[in-house]
Amino acid sequence: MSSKKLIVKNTSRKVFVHLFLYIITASLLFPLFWMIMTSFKPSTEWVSYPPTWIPNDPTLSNYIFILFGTSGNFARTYASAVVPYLNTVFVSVTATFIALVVGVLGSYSLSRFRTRGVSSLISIIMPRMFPPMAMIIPMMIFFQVIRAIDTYWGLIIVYIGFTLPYSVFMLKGFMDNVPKEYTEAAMMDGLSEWQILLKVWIPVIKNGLMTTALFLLILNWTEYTFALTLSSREVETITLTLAKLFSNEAGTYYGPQSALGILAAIPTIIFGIFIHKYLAYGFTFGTLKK
Amino acid sequence: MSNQIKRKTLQLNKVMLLPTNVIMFFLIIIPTILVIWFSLVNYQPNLGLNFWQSKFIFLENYIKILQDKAFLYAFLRTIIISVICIIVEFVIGLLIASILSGEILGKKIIFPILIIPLMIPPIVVGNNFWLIFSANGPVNQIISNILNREFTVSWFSHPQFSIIPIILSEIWHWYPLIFLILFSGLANISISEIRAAQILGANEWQIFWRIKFPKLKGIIAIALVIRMMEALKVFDIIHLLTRGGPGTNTETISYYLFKYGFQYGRVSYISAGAWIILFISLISFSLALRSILGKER
Repeated sequence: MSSKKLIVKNTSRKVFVHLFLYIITASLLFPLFWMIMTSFKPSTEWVSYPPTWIPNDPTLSNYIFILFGTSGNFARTYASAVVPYLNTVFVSVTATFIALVVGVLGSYSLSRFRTRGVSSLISIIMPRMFPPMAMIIPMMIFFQVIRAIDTYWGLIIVYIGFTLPYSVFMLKGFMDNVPKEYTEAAMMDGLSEWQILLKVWIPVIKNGLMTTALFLLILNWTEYTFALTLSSREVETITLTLAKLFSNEAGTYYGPQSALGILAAIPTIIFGIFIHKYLAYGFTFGTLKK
Repeated sequence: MSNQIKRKTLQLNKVMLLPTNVIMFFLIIIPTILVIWFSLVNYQPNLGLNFWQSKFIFLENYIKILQDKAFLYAFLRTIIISVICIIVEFVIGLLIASILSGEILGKKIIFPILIIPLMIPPIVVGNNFWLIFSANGPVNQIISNILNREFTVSWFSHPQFSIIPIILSEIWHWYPLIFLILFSGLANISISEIRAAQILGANEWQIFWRIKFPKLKGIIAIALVIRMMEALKVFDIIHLLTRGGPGTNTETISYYLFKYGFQYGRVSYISAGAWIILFISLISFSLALRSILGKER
């Protein structure tokens, strides 16, 4: 084969591979595209057939309905989704912050002193293999005793417990990479353990800390099962609001559902793009090499 | 003096681990112990007895649930759904990962775009598929155009088809994870070995099976186990889309546990079921790992 032929073959191959990848990417984005388009459709276009792929008459009324619970174009009114949204922000940010602080302490201890606690890898992964539905019932009983059902702090506690394993093991993975020389130099300078942690280790793993925080935030933000079973009446999170709107309207309020879905997904998509290289690392409990 | 410092750091070490251990103790160890107890007594909150007053019946719950056809079907259904999802996800994930590990125009944009589905809350994923599979939605439109005749199936209440949108939404939600894991696996394979094989005249297929695959084994095992663990827990999407219906046609194991535990109040029954599932999954995971990793472990 002459070199010219080889080049032609390679170029056509390259074009084909690119085209193939772009088509796959586009088709994988289709469900998302459809939701975005639906969120701008007026109610007449929700169920019209054939469906309009791009709204003929784009409107913001779905978003207005979600934000204010009412809009001139809708027969029914609902509570605004702003309160559940703020609930979600408050609960997930608080839970993430506490799980992060506790996780930093725990992982520092595990990484620096190589100790064993209740928190060995197996004891943390095993409960994740256990069907969560069965775990929630004893938690409910426990929560009834301490009067934490349907409270902010109850939900926060559950979220801390559920994300803490990730926090500890992701952070431990990052901390294990801190060069020993740094710690030794700090000890020579007479820094205490707290100072080593705060002044040496944390600056070194800054990016890892950030990644872990955003990862935990995504987990808490998208959580549904615990919110449904432990706090569905008083502390409504955004995922519950969507499910409620869905079941009240038998899933026919396409426009508002989509608008709410987009508002619920935007923060996690942004966080995820920030840390996309580490997402797999997080989901595998840090067993994967970064 | 050094002893004193050692003792001090040891104490500090315990103090630092304390919050983690306390949280783990209350939220994981205690509930686990309670679930063991529940599975051995006849505890149903509706009966008005507290769990410590309930009658001890030892293994009766386990025997009963193993004879329950609905439980076995839900379990089988979960396995089938998971296996289909995992196979498709691996095909998609491996395909994209191998393309993207080459030189690709716009890689930096496509890469984050491809993993967006993983970041979307499962409930929103459910909503997406509800819309595109609705009776007047784009999927029916496309199928109508292909078949050249009217096609209006209401997917979510169809006895056989209702499982399809659920499987597709699961695949869509989770393929990015497999892709990410395989991508980082492929990134660790040295390029010189592949070049050498190319010079020797190996084709892509041979390069993949002889060089890349053996090196990906470990990482594939991790991906499998993680993905299977998540598949056993699929709940949000089903709760939103079909509530296990029509009938029990889309009832997976976690929906079964939810239904019997929260709607029928049969706590002991589902506690036994949960232990059976944990037991089976532990055994099958360790067997799967051993067969994939061979003698390495």
